[in-house]
Amino acid sequence: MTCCDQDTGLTLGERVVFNGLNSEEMFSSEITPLPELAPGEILVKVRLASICMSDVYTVTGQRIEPTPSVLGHEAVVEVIAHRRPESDLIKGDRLTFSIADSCNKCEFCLKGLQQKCSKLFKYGHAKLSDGSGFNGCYASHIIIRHGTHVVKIPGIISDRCAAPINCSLGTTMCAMEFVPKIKNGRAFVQGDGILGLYTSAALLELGYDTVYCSGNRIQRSEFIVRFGAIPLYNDEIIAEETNKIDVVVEVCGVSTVINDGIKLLKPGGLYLFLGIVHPHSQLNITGEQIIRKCLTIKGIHNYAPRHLDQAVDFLLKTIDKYPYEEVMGPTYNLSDLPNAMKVAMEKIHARVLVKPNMT
Amino acid sequence: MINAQNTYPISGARTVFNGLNSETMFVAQTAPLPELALGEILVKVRLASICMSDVHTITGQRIEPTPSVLGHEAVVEVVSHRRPESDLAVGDRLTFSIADSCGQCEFCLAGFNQKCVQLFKYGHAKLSDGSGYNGCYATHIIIRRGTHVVKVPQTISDRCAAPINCALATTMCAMEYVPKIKNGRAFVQGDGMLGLYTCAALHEYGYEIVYCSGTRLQRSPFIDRFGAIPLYNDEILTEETNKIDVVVEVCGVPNVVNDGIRMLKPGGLYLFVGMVHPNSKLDITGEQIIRKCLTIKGIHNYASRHLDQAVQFLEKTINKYPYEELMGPTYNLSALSDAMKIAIEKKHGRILVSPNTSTESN
Repeated sequence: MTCCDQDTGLTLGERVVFNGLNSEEMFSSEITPLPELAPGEILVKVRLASICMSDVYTVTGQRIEPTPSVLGHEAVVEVIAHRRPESDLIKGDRLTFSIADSCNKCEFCLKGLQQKCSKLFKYGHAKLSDGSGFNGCYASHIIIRHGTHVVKIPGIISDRCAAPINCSLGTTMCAMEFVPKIKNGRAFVQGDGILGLYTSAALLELGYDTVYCSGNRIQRSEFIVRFGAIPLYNDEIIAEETNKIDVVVEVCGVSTVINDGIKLLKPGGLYLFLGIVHPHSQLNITGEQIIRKCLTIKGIHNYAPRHLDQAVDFLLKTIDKYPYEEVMGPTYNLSDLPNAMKVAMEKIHARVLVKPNMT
Repeated sequence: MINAQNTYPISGARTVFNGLNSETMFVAQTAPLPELALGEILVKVRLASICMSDVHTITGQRIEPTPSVLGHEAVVEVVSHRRPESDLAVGDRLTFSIADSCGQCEFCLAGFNQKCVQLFKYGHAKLSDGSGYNGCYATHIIIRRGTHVVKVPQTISDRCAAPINCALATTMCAMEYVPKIKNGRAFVQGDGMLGLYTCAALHEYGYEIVYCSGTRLQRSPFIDRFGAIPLYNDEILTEETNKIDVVVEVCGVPNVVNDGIRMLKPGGLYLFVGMVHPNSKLDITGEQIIRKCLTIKGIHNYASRHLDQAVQFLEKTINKYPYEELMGPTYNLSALSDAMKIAIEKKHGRILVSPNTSTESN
């Protein structure tokens, strides 16, 4: 049945179920047997999960996700058993895995847009009743489905650095695919969260000369510098750099920054939208602004399997260059998830980590 | 200076636009034709066409510097030139780039002449800029040395050639961003010249289904003959939601954008071409753009290469699409105000203007 010596028949897993904002118990922990694996599936234990801001939005009601469900879609995991005989996976391998499970046959998968697969399934965004129910990272285990791309994590990348690969860093790599390689390029990153820091580093590695990073946390400025960018906390630069920026990247989740971004872009420039993927993102811009400057606006949502590979390569290549470890926050026990969420909401740390009890 | 038999004309005529609130909005004047500087070309206007942006200027929806000579679409003929390295001859019929560019700045070097740091645009420049023969509502134009020109083949009549250097070239620029997809589906929002040219271009590019929506029911036989399916109601919008690869806005109104976004499939492309005026506030969210991983691209004017592509495209398809029939009546330059009034009605693809000289236009 499996390719590894493992009696999984009686193994139990723990998961923290999100019941929705208005339920008596928002989070309830349950322990339940792990099902047998179907062909192509991988049983992994969660080594370390991280709390993505989108989960914070879900538990505060700004996002609606199906319930009941197991949230959490960023984690570094470890192979316990698998049914991918054609692969080189072995028990104990540390993996990151695609947030999207895709069919690889539909029009979107075939053109490399797997995150929009017609039969898309997203870990941390699926109802408990979908498949095994071990669908999210706030759990001891995950059953990785057969359409999910996985990538091994090299030994020198710690769990703390690896956890956010499969959302933040994968998404950053997807965004970078659209960034032109320009000599003396100037970029402006709007947002100083983990996406902003990763994007700053990625732009620097792509050869951009000047990367500004703006945000609202003064205490983040030291990290911004160490991730290769110039921290900005006032509007002076906007006047100086009007019409001079090649690429602006919105990674802060608020639509009020868009007009500044458009003003900063030079004719022919590129605006990447990543963060404002929620309903309160009304744009206050005109078609004229976009046309007169011949601008390109590109929406980036999640990423495709190749970007997960690129994320691991990028992190491996730059692991000693940028303070990835230091920018991570404290680790909470899975049983303490509500507290971990509260701390994540404060946005003091780039990421708050969650470790399951059972492993 | 190369010209025929020393017959450099002493003066020409031009119709000057004085602005909306002036006593006489249009004033015809004669003025000396200056000698040519190096690189310049003196051309006579064979036939000009009225672009809708000029209509917007004289109705106050656009502000342009005044006084000026408007008009930026025309087929012209070489009278004299100082481009010794070229193969231009007196009598050559030409189309010319709306943009005069420096060829050396960051934008020109990136193939983006329309945003040259020293940009000059015919039909958009003050009378006092250069020779003053800066627009097409005139007998002559002094083409500046940074202006790309292309000869117009014989098989293309003046009526078909006039709109090349704005409407058709802009269409070619837009097409540069359109992906070549198998079984592609496109939606063109607008049934004016840009809309029809875009339909033909998408059709030639191999797009399987091209819808074209507009406000003029009488335009539907033309839409059909330009390779598209005319649409005048919203039924298709529901059927084709999330199924369109490319949407092109060429109607100048922002309220079509939400429909366009809805129709686009994930990863689709939206080209904005028409709404290059202030009343173009978009009623969309960042979420709509992100969730579908959409690309929105603004297209304003075009670069030199697109003028070449426009002439090639027209030559290749001159018998395939009813370009000639789409053009409206020709007015004399002295009747420019009347011509503008007819153009405002938007009954024809283009209204044509012929200068008040002995030039015979075909």
